[in-house]
Amino acid sequence: MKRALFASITSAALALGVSACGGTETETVTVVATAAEHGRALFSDPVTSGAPLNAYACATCHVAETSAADTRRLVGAPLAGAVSRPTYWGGVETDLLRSVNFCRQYFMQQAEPWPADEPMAEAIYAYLASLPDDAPEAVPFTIQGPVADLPAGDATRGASLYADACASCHGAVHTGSGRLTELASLLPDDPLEEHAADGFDAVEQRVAFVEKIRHGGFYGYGGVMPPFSLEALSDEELADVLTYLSLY
Amino acid sequence: MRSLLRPFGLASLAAIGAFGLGCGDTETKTQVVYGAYDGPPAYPDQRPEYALPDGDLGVTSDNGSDTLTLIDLAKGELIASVPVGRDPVDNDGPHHVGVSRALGFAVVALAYPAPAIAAGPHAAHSGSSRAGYLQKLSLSNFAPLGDVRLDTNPGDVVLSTDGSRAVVSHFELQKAVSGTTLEEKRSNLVVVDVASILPDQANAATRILTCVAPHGLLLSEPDGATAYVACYGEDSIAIVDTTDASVPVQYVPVGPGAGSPGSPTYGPYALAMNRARSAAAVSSTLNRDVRFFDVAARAMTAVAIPTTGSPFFAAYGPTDDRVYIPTQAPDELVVADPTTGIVLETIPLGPLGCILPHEVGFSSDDATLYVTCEGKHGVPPEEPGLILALDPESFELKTSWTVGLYPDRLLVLPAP
Repeated sequence: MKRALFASITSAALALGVSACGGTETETVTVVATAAEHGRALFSDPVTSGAPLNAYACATCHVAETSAADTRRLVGAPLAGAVSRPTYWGGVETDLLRSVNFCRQYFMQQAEPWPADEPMAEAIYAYLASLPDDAPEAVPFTIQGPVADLPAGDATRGASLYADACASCHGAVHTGSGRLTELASLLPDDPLEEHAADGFDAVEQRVAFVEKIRHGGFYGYGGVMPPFSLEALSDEELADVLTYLSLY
Repeated sequence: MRSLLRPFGLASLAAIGAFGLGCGDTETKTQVVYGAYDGPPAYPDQRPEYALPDGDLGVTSDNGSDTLTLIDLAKGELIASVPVGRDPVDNDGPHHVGVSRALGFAVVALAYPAPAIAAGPHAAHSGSSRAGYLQKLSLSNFAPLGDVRLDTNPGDVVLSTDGSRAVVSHFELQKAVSGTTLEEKRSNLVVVDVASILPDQANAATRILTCVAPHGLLLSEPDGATAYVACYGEDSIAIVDTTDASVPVQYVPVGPGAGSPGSPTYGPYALAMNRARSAAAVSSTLNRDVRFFDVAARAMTAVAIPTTGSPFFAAYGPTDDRVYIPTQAPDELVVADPTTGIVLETIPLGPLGCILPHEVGFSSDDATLYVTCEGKHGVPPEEPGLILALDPESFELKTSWTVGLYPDRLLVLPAP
């Protein structure tokens, strides 16, 4: 369900000013929007972190509502229904605010947690509460523990999966064109440079990719990449991506 | 009205309209004033409230699944598996737990393991040491109430019976090996004033350098002013004044021919106090025996009970004339007379489905003996742990509960 951005604008005020060239008038229209609309704007705004190097917004990893037309493979669960879910993060957390603060801490580089009455936190909550609540069950999020090499997959499927799962952050392969931030690795070049052939064989190089994709910054790896759960990307699909990246 | 003034992005401005850019024209700018949130309190605590039983409550700490399992022991029903920890992905390793039903809280030591997660080039990433935490939780809904940073590798945590003090040992085997002086090999007890733990702040604790690789703990009653510590890497029992870190620690060797610090012969790992609180059973996993510490004399007795397997956390029977010892490899329950050292019975636990028995304990009416079985852990495929409820005379299985991965303790807590 789409919502018009200013569907509930409650009032507007008009002010007139004069621009620097002397002849141009500037009208300033002030519109008043709801906290939920504020939250909707914040959903796509990295300002929710407050950390200077952060490029992530909630929308980087989550959709508000699922759509058949949206083929992206995002690591986070859809947020419609989130306010009513019994657990988050695959069952390891039972509190929504702590779950939000985990995202801000581990991915958005903000160690200071939001209290519940922080205005942006309230706006995000208002937005989440405004979403349809028809999927309140917990969303599976299975993080693979030990990782291993995978058999080669299909490069054509891998190209499509790369576009849907990787490109929004890493941009185009080799060039990084369109990537979210200059800090995002160029794929596959940067990781291969970090795991050069004079120190790592081909299997070890692939496992390095598998480990990073499956664990993100966790398990001591570091960095701010979120982990891809088995639900977000199956092993077969992951092998397709690795094959597209010419790692076999 | 409390409001935030924040213009939308350029796309939104364009959508509203900017008309004409030349002199003499009118330019329209839009600014958005967001109304304050005026709904019910945001992020209400929706954690379920657990109805705790009128009788014995059982609580296990499940190292491998980052959960506490709650059991209504009298009814034989699992109440819930409750997630705990501070990290949403890594294994927090909840290792031993203390609970005060009267004060309504639990404390659990998070002992982040050094997991061998990666088969590939990043295995070394997981080898780094990570400080543990003592997490305090509400007993009604297990909401976090605050935490205290510990050292690496928390070993055992015991809460004083009055709930005022928590003491944590640190089973630092790396220090035991790599330290070049006795002081470097030794690790701390962390002593925590539980009431002082508050949310969202760095809470303080007292550190007392104790011994090499301290693990099993016992506390004096009611406030835990004295701690008795099994010093695995030093073949001794350490007696620690938890109220004053300046008081020298007293050491009692667990037996003759003790090894050198860091190279133990006995490896005392677990302690169990008798009902009279006059003696403690000392389980040594390397030497594979159980010896006895006289609390008043602050000395070991001459009694020793050799065991085939490695003995873990034992329990005394109702009249202190029996000690029940779980052993691993083989997985057995050894029943012995603590005054003579004579083994009375040996019950194989494997046929009951028990893998790696870690601790035994009694129901508050002494009618049931519980055995905490670690299950298969560490190497996939893992299997959850098991709690056996046995008849303490016949050792027939009354019932059992499957709990989380790698449970290490079942606390039995009568209603206050």
